[in-house]
Amino acid sequence: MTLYSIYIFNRYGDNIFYKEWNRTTAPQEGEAGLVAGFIYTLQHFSSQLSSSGEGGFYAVRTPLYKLHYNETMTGYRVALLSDKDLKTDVVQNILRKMFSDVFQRYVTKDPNYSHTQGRVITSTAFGEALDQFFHSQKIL
Amino acid sequence: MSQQRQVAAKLGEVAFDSGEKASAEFFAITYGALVQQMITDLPQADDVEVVNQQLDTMGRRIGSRLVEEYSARSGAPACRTFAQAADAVAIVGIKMFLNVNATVQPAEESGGDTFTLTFADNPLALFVELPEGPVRQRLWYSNVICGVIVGALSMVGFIAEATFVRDTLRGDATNEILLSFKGREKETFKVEQ
Repeated sequence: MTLYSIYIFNRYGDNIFYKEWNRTTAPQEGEAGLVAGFIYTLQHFSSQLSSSGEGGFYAVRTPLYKLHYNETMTGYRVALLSDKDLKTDVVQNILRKMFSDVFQRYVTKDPNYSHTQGRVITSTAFGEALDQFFHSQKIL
Repeated sequence: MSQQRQVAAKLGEVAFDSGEKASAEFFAITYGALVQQMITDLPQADDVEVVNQQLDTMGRRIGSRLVEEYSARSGAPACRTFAQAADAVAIVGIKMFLNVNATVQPAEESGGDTFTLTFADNPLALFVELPEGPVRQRLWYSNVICGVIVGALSMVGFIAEATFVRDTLRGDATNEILLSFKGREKETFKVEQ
């Protein structure tokens, strides 16, 4: 299993957190905005194309990599890029736990963080806790 | 109680049980010290409405964070309608954070966009007596709860107003909050072109 990178966006589309592990290409200018647009658009495609009118976007797979998606009730969205064989249901559970455990403990409950436009995660504790969490879930 | 509400009540109970507990007395006394300080700091002793506003503002900031914990711990689904949101606030949220059983019903002649939340016990009001005069007449002692509700709902897309209409500290038989739907938050996620 290989993780390449992770983006977390707030409800305004701000990229509040980015981290990379085994990424082989250099980050490009403005790519966080493109990833934000990509996941947002796919999520809306999913709603509009579904027969029930309900949405649901979990992952998209390419020959070289896979992008996993999850979101919170309050509009935080995560895009996790991994090797193409990482199972969707495994990662869905992990991302849900990431939001309810790690994100809640190190971001929501951090008095230096607030749910406002333009506010990014500055604490290093979240990044470290995220690494530990992914290690404990055996995907890193 | 409908089956849906029974499920919601169970979610509230389980969420309360699973959370870290703090002493109710400590919580009540801390809150009491805060309110007392606000009243003492009033430039004009009569301006009790200022304290109501400060408690509401503080509550909104608290609510915008509490809703993350609500979502994480209760496992309750996202609400599609304001009626569902009112149920979730009263039956899950208030139970989860205050361990209080609240009831919710549509306010009379509201056309479905206003709800009355009623609860008999108020853990914030433990040991509290309000002095006669403007404080007793105009202070909504637990107004932070209204702010929390409004702040939490705004994070999940509902613009709402919450106001106390009855308070046992003022001599009413029960505590009542009027919760009104004011609109939906606009989609704020910006996508580059």
